[in-house]
Amino acid sequence: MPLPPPPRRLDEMLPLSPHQFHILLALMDRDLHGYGIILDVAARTGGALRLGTGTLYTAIARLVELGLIADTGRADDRRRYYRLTPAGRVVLRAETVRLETLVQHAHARGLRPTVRLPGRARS
Amino acid sequence: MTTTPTPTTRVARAIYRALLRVSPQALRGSYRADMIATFDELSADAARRGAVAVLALLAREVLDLTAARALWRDVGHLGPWRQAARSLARRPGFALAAVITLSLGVAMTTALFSVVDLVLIRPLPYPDAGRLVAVWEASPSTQQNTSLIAPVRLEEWNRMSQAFDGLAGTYTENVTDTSGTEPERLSGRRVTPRYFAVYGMPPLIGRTFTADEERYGGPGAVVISEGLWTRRFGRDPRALGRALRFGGVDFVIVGVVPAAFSTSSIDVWLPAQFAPGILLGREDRFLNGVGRLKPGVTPAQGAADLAGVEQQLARQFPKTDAGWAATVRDLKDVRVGDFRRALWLVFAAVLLLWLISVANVAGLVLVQVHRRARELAIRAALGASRPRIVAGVLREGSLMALAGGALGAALAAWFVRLIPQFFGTLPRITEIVLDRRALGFSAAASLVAALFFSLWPAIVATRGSLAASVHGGGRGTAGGRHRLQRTLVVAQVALSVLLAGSAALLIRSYYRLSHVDPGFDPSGVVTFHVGARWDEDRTRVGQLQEQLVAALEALPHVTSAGLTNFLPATGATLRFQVSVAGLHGTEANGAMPVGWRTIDFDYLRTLRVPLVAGEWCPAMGPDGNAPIRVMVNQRFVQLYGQGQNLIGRELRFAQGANQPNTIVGVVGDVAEDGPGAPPMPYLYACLPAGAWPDPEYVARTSDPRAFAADLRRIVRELDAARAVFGVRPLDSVVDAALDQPRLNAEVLGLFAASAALLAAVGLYGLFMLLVGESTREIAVRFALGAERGQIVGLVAAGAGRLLAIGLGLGVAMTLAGGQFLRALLFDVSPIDLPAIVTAVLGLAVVAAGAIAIPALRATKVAPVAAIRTE
Repeated sequence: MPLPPPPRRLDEMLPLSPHQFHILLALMDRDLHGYGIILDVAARTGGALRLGTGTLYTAIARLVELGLIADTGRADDRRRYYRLTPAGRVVLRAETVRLETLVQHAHARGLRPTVRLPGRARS
Repeated sequence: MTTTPTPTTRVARAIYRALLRVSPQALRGSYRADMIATFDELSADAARRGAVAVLALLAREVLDLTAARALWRDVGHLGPWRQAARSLARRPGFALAAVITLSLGVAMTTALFSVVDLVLIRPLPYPDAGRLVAVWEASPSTQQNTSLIAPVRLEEWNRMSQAFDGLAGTYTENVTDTSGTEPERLSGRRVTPRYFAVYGMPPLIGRTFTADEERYGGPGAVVISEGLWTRRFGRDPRALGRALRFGGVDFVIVGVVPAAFSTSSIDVWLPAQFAPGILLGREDRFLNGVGRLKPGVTPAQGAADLAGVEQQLARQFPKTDAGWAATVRDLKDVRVGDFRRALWLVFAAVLLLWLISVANVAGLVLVQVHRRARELAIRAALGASRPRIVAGVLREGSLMALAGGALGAALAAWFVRLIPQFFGTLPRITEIVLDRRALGFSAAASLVAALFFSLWPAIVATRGSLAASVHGGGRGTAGGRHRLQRTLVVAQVALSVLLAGSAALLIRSYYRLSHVDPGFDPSGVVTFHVGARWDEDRTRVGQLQEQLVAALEALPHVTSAGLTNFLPATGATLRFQVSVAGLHGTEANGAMPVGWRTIDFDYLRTLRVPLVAGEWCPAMGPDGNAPIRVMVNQRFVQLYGQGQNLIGRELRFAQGANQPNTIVGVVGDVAEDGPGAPPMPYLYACLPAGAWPDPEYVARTSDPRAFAADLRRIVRELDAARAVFGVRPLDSVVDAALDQPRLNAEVLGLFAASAALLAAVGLYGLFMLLVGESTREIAVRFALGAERGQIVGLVAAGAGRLLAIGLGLGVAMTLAGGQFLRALLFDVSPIDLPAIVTAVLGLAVVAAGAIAIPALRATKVAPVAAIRTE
């Protein structure tokens, strides 16, 4: 089944799915292959998000198609490495701004996280 | 970074590759290699944490790949399928358990059905195989219903019978090929004319025998098997026209037959080329018969036709042919023979296990639906229509079913590859392939079951007053509800008892069988063959046998050595009728049916068979005129001796004008017909060396390893062109006779263990649910001062009642089912108290473990929870 046609404008690409967002984050500083991305995301989220191969490569396929990441052409052990494209960097920043704005709106209404952090007793 | 694959990761990768098929095709097309490489890394990580972690990874990937399908369809949009996948992902324990249970059920049923279909249902691999029959001579009056056939009679049957397209015969003749650098022993068959035509399977390359090659004195020709062609000639078509060399004579390879042609590992087929003399011997019966019936003729009609032919022959040859007829049986039935019952047994066990697994999945789904009853009710109250809620539950069910089906198919493909290792003795097992119909059926049935069990409770949960569900949450007591689930648990326990009880019966039977005294001492005895042909010069073969046995007995580590035509418990026996003057046998004509073995001077002593009376076989020279000395076993004396002294008495064979035999000794009963078979009267003929050219040699040695080397050296010195083969401990021969009972017991034991495990999971799920639902009730009881022990007792009593009903039903089913096992049992009654007690206790222990966790959880309920659950 074909993917929906890629959007032409930047803001049509937003919002990113959490998976896509995490993959772009993982590729900010270095090129990685699929397994590297899984490890990076798992480490960053403290193991809360473990991408399976199906979801990972579906997201990669979509990001490649959108032109946000690209195949580096470098391959060892049969695995392709991906890098963040300039467009990807722009979209990542735009998505971060979008999320930040949302959070600020929430804070403005007085909504603060009430999750207890480990080691700190609730008064 | 490359990781070295281990067996576990290799299997995991094979399953993953199969699973990739459920992922979207466009994704697979571009990213397959990357996905496999990534999975390899993940599975290597998981493998370091153990096999369970690998299994968990696989199950997660199943769900993930299935979810990817939905993701692919609507990227960025949370569609209903993705919602269902998310909902499942929030309950990973449940989803994993359901997917693994479903997939195991599908895989085992499919794999075993593939075996049953191959061995029992599918026709033999010959054209129009339904017309192929096995044929024997039969003499009803002497109870020989499956006698081998004399070549002359086979020719006459072919000429005179109306019911057959053709009849052919074959006998075993193993040969030693000396055309290569080393002598190689090949397993061979001599075949009569029409043999290949009867089977009707064309050769792979080349041709079968011409009339010229089948005639006595014709040119040497050989048809070889696909296996030998591959092994020796690398499937080179130029093998045709080359020659194998047997006994110094060249046999030109004229054709290669496909592997499917023969059930056992036969290497070569040679034309029988009977000498005219052999075609005169009306009582020389040594051919295994096979025939092709004319279209529309049944085996019974074929037998009647041959009986008519025999009546005509009896008028012509009253002395030899009177009273003889023929037995004709479907070839497939004959080949499957002994395995039929065991296979159906295994298949029945698998079906039971499959039922249990379906019941288990149903139970798991029910637990979930009950847990979610409030959630569903709230969603309904918020405006979700009933069809929409039901559709959501159905979607989750189908996702699990799809995932379970996919993993099941992958596992089934793997099981089918493993099966030949476990069931190597089954006929045609090398032909096994995954049966797609079976896969389709068991997968579809599992899916329907999973869907049904998700649908039904969803409908019930949303029926009637939804508001009542919202208000009623948590108020239920442990009694009266979840009737379907209770029924399922009871059924699971009962079926598990049936499996465990049957397994216990077979294990006890196997134990008894393996501890029967065989009447001889196989430990420390080595048996082997030395290649020799029947048409060789007997004097020369005889000299070789004598020299070999003498040289072996001269070895420091050999106590004694000897030879016989057939070893005990190998299923091979020649049976005759004999008479002793002054004694009356069990037959109407006074004859005594006996099994017959040829032995030499030291054979029985090498096996440490006790001498009861008289003396051992004398050492025999090639002296054909003296009366043949024979020994008889104790059973012979009991059955026919009438309390008289048999030593020195003369014994004659009922058929043919054989020379008299003198009884010289009586030995203990040996399990000649296999362990567990009642002892039959046996005659041990002390024959001169060379009388049986290709005997089984035995030697008692204290150093089996040195023995094998010394044996080869001695044979090389005596005759360099002879192959030594089949060197193995006699223990393994006796063990092989127990293969079938051992297999039965092991397989059923395995199923019983799996069933008990599944039933335990069912019990655990049910009582976790019940305890969870009764939290309020339990808390109130605590608040009213109940002791922990009382609470545990409350939970345990509820579980105990279900368990007791299940166990009771199971025992009843085991007692009823035992009747079907009767034929497989040795020295164990189908109503065997220890076996049933073991099964019940084993299951009760496992079930108690499953109940312990929910019971303990109940004691952790704080009284304040009575308020909180609201």
